[in-house]
Amino acid sequence: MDRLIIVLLDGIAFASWLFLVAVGLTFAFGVLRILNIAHGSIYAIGAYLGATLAGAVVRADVNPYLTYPALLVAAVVVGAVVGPALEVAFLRRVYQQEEVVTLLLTFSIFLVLEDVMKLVWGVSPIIVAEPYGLLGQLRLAGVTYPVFSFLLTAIAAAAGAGLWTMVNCTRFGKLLVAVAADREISAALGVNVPRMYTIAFTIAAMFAALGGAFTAPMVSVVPGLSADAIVLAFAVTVIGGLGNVPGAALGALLVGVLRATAIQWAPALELFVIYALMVAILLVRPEGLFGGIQLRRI
Amino acid sequence: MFRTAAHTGIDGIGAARYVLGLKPGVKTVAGLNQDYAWGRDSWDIFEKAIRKLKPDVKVLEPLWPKLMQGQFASEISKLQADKPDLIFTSVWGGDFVSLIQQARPRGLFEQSLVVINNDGANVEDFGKQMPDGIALGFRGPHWLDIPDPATTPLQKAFIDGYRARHKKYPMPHGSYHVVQALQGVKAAYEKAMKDKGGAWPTVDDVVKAFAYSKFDTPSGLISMAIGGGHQAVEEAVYGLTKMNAQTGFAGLTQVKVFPVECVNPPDGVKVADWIEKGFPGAKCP
Repeated sequence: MDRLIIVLLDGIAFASWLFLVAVGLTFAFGVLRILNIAHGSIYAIGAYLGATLAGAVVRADVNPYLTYPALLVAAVVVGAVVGPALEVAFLRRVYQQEEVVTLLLTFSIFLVLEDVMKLVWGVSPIIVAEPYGLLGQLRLAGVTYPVFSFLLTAIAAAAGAGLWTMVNCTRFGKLLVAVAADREISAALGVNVPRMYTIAFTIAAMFAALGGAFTAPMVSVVPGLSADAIVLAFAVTVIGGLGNVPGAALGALLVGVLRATAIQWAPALELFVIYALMVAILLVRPEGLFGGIQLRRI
Repeated sequence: MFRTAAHTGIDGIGAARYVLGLKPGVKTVAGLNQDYAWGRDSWDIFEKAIRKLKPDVKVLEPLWPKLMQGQFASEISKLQADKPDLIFTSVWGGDFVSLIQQARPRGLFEQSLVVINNDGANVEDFGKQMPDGIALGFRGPHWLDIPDPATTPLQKAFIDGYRARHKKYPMPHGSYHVVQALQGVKAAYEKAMKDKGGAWPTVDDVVKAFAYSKFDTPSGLISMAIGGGHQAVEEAVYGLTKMNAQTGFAGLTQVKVFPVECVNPPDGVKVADWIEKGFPGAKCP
């Protein structure tokens, strides 16, 4: 019984992290119809700035709890600066092009940002461990869990609920849905489509940066962070259905629990099960669990 | 091809000898290693060595996280639930940092003795966040006071020069092994030139001079003693981390330096065969 509880707790913790990384990716696809490979880079920049600001708080020897607002500030700043910059400078020029063009463009941005991060932060790991242990620990099912991982779950839940509410219960959300459904008709009805795109991409970037910033206290912030995140995020969004936020949540949960199960009872399959699940779901439902079949103009 | 640093064998054999010296009554052993050649080889050698040195030890099914995955929460839960006496890991770089960051607040290092076979590169970067009591191993005698800078001028010059340039200590083992390579090539060229009466040597001359050579380095005298003279041997160093208030980062306590003959197989003998036969010819203190 204890092992089942452990699997559930570990699965939810990993799913929370996965969801934070994947939700912006799927949201950007839902509205802008782009698969943004540079999403992983924004996540990594969030981690770097989060580690830098939280590290500054630690070194300043002030109240260590200020590291949490520092992580939040890092996420907002990265999202608010990098998001609009990428959308306005690059992405809006290729919305009318074929998907492969946006893929190549975002992959190029991903590669450039990898090197930009090395230029700015160097190649040595940045270590800011303090916020991870600061909130204390809980003893559950014979295992010690840091309260930080529950905080991450709360942030992921709040982010998902907030995004869902915004899309489904606000005027802005209805406009987003309209723009996502038909860009031309929306523009003809007076919606400022380019502005909606910029805002939507900024929101997606902010989620990526939020995931990165709150991952920084758990991991070593080093070059290569982006690639690992984006590969898993793709798996989750594909499982859930590209462009679908509840789908990303379910995809993250399935991957998280399945991976935790493998680690407890079949550790050699830890990585295999994630992609086996993806393949199985794609075979049965190529559009993903929550994805809808869409007509395509040719 | 020449390799002026020791091979993986000494990491696993040194780890097994060290932990059994520290905890002779160890009953259960778990492994957490990155799922690629280095992780698999490291675990394979350590497992063979500890089974040979303590045949009644129970080895649990090893964990294989993806290289540089950075997320170890589920693995730590599994290790906490299994409660092994000893955990062997060969994680390095970013994964070394992430594992310690995530395991420390969860008390894993108090529950089990964790031995990390070959990484100290980030010890200074960790500062006061490095937990006490981790068994840390280095491939070769490289540490702030190993060999003692007071009696090894090259070690003193290296540490002073490195600190002046990078504002931090040279941590094992990468920086030391790069210097070993440079010193080895330099010594081989000097010997080859001397053999040719001062004339510039050909590549073949240098290869001949390099094989089975010995040369001075910040780590002491390095000998190209095995692999037909193309592979260096080194001592293995293990110690327990202990915060050093003076430097502001973890130092080592209960340090053990395993001599070359204790952890390296003789020339021409494969590591796995040497372990299997019970380390014939090993000279340990």
